[in-house]
Amino acid sequence: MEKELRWDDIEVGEEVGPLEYEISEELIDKFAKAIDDYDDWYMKDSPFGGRIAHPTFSATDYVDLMFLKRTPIMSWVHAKQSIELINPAKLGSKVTVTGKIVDKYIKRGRKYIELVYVAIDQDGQEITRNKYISMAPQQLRGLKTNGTSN
Amino acid sequence: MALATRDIKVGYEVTPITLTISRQKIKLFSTRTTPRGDPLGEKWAPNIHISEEMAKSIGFPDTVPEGLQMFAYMSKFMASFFGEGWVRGGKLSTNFIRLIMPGDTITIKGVVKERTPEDSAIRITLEVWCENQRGEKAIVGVASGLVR
Repeated sequence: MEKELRWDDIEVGEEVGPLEYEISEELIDKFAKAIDDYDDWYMKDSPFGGRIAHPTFSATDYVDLMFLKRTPIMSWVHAKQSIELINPAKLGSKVTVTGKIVDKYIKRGRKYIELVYVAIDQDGQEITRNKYISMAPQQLRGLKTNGTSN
Repeated sequence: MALATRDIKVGYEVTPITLTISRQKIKLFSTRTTPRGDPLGEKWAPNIHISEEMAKSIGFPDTVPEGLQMFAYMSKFMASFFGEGWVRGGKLSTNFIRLIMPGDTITIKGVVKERTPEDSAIRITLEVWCENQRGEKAIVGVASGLVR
């Protein structure tokens, strides 16, 4: 078990990514199964020309972005999330996601971080703009992971 | 088929959608393979979405769904209402204010709050929320989409 990401170790201004991947049939299919959404636009064809990924697909990339930066976020608690959908991510698109820690603060005794991240395609077109605000687990109760207290 | 129209009235209530958050669905989402290629549940287990022990270690009574799982359901709700104007031009901002537990029945609701011209389109803004079977709001937010 790897030690979990600690709030105290995160610095405002830190950049995360890039995360690079291709929108494959497998990724779309597995996301569809995970949320039980098999709309034709994702599974067959769309008005945008072929299959597209689910609109909030790239919002989930914060998980990988944070992992690339440091260590897993296994018990951080999601406080807020926002997304702007600029363009659909089409099947076969090569996506690059980059992000930055834009704030960290303590509010009512709880520790938060704010991560903004943007997904673009191979032509530089924006797909989504995202903001993830998360609460550090140690503020809920002293977290113990395989004997390691964070 | 999209339901939003350029002249939709403020106060219009979008047809709700209801779903039950099963332990199986929570696990399915939280063990998906990410773009980086690691099945979450295998690489990172345990986490608060699939391990009751981990969830209880931070004071939760049980495992909980990922915020982004609920976010995806809300996107489905918005896509049904706006169609293309959701996929290209949609916005969603949410606050997760109450835990959603395995077995909860969640209803996603929305009410039109504002219509604003945006270039040649109309941006329609909704108050949106998810409430549980007791009528308690678990997620609140604002969403909008374009009607061209």
